Amino acid sequence: MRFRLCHTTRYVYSGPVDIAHHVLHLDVRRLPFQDVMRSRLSCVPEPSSLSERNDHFGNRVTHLHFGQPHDSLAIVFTAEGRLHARNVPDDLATPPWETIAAQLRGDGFPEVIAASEFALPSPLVPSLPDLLAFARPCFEAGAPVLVCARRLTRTINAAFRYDPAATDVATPLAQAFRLRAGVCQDFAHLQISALRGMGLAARYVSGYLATRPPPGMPALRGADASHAWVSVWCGAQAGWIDLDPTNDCLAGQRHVVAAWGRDYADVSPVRGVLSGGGAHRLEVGVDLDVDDGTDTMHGGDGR
Amino acid sequence: MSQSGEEHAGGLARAWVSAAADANAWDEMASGRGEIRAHWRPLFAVLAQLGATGLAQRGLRLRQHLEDDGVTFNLYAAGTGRAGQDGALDARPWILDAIPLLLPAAEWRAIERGIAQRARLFDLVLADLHGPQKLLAERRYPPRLVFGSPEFLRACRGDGPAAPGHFVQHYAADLARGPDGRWRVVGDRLQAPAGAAFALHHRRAMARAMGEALAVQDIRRLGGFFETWAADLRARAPSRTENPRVVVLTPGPFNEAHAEHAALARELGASLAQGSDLTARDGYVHLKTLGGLERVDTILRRVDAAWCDPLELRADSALGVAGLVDAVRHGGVHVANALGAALVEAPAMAAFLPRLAEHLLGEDLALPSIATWWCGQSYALEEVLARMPELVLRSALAPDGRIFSVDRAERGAREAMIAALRATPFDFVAQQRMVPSVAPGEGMAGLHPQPIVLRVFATADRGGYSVMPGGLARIPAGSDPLRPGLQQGGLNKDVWIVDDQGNDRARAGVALRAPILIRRTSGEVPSRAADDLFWLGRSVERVDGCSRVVRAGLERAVAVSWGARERTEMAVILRVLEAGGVVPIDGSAAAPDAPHARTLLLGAFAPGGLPEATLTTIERLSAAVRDRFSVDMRRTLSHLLGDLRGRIGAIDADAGRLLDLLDELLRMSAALAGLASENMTRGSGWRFLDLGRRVERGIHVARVVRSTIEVPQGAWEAGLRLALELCDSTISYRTRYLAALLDAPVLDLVLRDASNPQSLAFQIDGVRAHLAALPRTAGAPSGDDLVAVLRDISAIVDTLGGAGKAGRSGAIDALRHAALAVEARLMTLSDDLNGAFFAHVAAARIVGAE
Repeated sequence: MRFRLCHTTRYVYSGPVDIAHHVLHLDVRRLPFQDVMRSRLSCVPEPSSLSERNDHFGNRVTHLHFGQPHDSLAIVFTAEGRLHARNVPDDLATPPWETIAAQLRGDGFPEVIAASEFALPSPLVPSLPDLLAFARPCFEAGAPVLVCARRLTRTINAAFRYDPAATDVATPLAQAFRLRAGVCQDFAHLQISALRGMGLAARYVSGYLATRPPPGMPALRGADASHAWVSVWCGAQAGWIDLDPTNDCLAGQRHVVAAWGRDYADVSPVRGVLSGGGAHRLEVGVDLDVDDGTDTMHGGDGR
Repeated sequence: MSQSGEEHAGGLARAWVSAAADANAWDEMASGRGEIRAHWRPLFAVLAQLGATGLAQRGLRLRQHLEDDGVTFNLYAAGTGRAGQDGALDARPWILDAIPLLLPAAEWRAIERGIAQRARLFDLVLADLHGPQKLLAERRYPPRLVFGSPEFLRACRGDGPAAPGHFVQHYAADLARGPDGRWRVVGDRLQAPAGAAFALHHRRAMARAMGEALAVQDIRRLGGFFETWAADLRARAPSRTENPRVVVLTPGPFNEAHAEHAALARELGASLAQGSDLTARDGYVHLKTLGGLERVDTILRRVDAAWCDPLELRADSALGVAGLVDAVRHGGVHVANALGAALVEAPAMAAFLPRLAEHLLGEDLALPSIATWWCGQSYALEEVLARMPELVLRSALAPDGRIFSVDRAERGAREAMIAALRATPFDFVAQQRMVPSVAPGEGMAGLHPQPIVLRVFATADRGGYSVMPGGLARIPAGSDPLRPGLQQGGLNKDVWIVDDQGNDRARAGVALRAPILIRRTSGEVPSRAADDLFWLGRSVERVDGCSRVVRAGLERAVAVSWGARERTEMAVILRVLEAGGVVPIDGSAAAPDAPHARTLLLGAFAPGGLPEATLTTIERLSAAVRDRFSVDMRRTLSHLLGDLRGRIGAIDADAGRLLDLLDELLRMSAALAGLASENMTRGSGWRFLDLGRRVERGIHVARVVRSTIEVPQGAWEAGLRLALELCDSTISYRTRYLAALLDAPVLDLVLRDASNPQSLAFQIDGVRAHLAALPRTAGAPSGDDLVAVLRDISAIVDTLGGAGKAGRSGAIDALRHAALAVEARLMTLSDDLNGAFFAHVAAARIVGAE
């Protein structure tokens, strides 16, 4: 299945910005189920320097520096590629969740080192005892890890209301939990916190989601948006499995993976530090076309 | 030694042994048989000569030297955790004991070897953990202690291998000696270890206060260590320039160790900079100076790594430089210690260090850590639970975390602690409880045994590490060697390494070094320092003007007679103070009575008023720019400021006390002016300081003149007399015109006589001369417009001199307008300077996380 992606970020400043540094996590990852044929970044104005590197998590990161005064900035990222069906194991064939937790913990030295990093709390995902109590019934003794994780996905999806007005990017996780509402970022952080609380490894996946327009309407520009979901470690055989608590589903051929980390702070799509500029206005637009579609899904928080 | 001296020494020794004997601790000075150890004998003889009184006097002198040197440690304002930008500084003197800690050279060599080995080892461990992480893959170090540590900086993890020595440029270790006589490391410091520069200050103060003790033995010198350190920092410059620029990055004057940061910058020949003084552009870091941006090659950071770059590290940090991590990544600048070096400060590291030494160095650990168990492994947890009474528990990762003695705790707390340990054992380490050694210190009646923790310092040196031959002995709070943090309070001691081979080696070592390059520093004044100096000048002059006016008022308010003349003068005084925002405008200025005026004047100096706020600003700014002042100037300034601000609270509506304080404030201002004129090189820094004074005094004169001319025609003479007094020009007038008070000559002297240093013309000439001499920058003000206004004023004074009654009121109106214009122009000059010289100091802010 082919995808075409266009991500536009536009800042308008009330006064000239003298110096700006931006770090971008926009690029899409090259993965067994995700080929990238073309990707391109363009900026207006042109940056005075641009460099790329791979971060600790293997994500492609772009650094932009603007040394000349400017009063607006447009960053346009486009990519084209192909999504393949992911290998999803039989839920029931995955190991018991306690086995996975024990492997991640080990006796001081975990058996799987890379995954163990994602079993620890992170800056935006603290461990919350109330949330853990809420999640615990999903984890029956001896149940396969993916069965439990999917049950948790469903439980969160059912108990929490998708509401872009309920939270913003600075809302602490504990508050989103109390409100029982939030956007995809909150849904993902909630599930990650619960999974880690059970001793499992979970990472935050930032990406793009193809949302289907209502029947008979053309796709609207910017109607699609950045999205976020969860990846849970299911043991060496099954590996990482992506779950989307916002839509209660496995991530599939409409989820394009950009980057992953411990939480949103590791992979925020565009962040920068400016000198000068006064007030600023931000517009973000995402356009993702996938040549297939099924049911309507939530996304579009535009963060 | 004389007969009586020997007897005295014998008595002292017996007293010492009985004082120290009841503890199980190792005695630094006496052996188990009660004999004074050989390396202590010469000092001991000197102490015996001095006696308890002599020693106490030396102690006082020593602490006075240190205070004069500005050796202080700031405490954050109680309750708030940290002082706000305008909060008051609470500078606490740093206490040094008059008796040093002595160590023989043979013993010291073992410590040196051990410290250098640990520095090498930490460098290799860090290069791996912030690089390929083979130590994790090979199960030599637990991943949780890396991935769970706030000092593991993912943004600073490199793709390739780091160059040897990259991570550890300098290192400090806290050592304690157990009852068995062996030194053990109780803490490793690589974030921004404090104390090295203070150790040098200690030695200088000791040389003055305890010189004869220093002279009777060959004591290794400290100076060479700083030359080595500075040379290594320069050698790390990525660009091979002749004269690399090193800066010491400080969190600013509110940091508890700011005085040390300034001292360190001086000793290392570096510039002192805050994050906002630096800017990263195109992969390089620059210092913002009046002359423009200057490339920075090496940054010695005293800011914790996580706060060093709001772009890639903590976004809520205002202490860092946006883009610093990327500049380091591209090799545009070197940061020492490397960002992430504090990862190995974790107390749990000690549990793995012996095997890491074996694996990475093929060596045994020469200087072991205190026995440590990381509880994250089941065998260790079992052992810890079994041996709990002899152990303490503390955080596995946080070096400054709480230390918990399970068997000394209350029953409930003990059970809670054991439950926490069982729930998350990996969050804890257990360490052997330890009785530190004792050394003699000043006591009420001679020598007093003090528990000792020794902080030693190492710097990278041509591929290896050199250790400072000396250090900082700390008497830890609560005598727990695991709590030697400098923030904890406590006493300090100088550390003397007693050489057994004469001093030739140390002297030769210094002579072999390359001569230090001569540098020119003028024109390289950091913009922030210039801004601070400008406002320091303004603030001091503001206190001066305000004190002068309040004093004039108070003298009248407490005088016996209160008549029409006093009422007129008081009206002028209150108008001047109202214009400066010193007293509230309440309409009473037109016809004040004495008690009311007295209340207003005393109220101006009440806590929370403008004078107190201005003194707070002076303290803050003089602390921030202390590295621009000479040693003498710093000493005098700290003497002068003393507790002036504190005394405001003690005035308690007593006019006499306030008058005394006002006299002292005026003395402080005059002394500072003298110091600046005699002790500062005529660079941009001095110019900004003086510019601030000229601007503020110009404003003062303008306010006095426009307040005076509001006086009714009949009281004209009283007004003129007061104007002379408030502008400190009474004597000049008397010598020139004897007694007759006429408006034109008075106004001529106060406004347009450029030979009178109190006149408006003098201030404007000064402002123009400074502006002309500053680096040429777009938008810099010239002050020409001030000259135009001064010309108008001059013409008005001429008119007054020749005019009859008819012309007067028009001339006075014109003068009122001209004075207002001058005042307004001088006020806006600050903004112009800001635009021209300080605009690039603008604070950075974060976008995108929305």
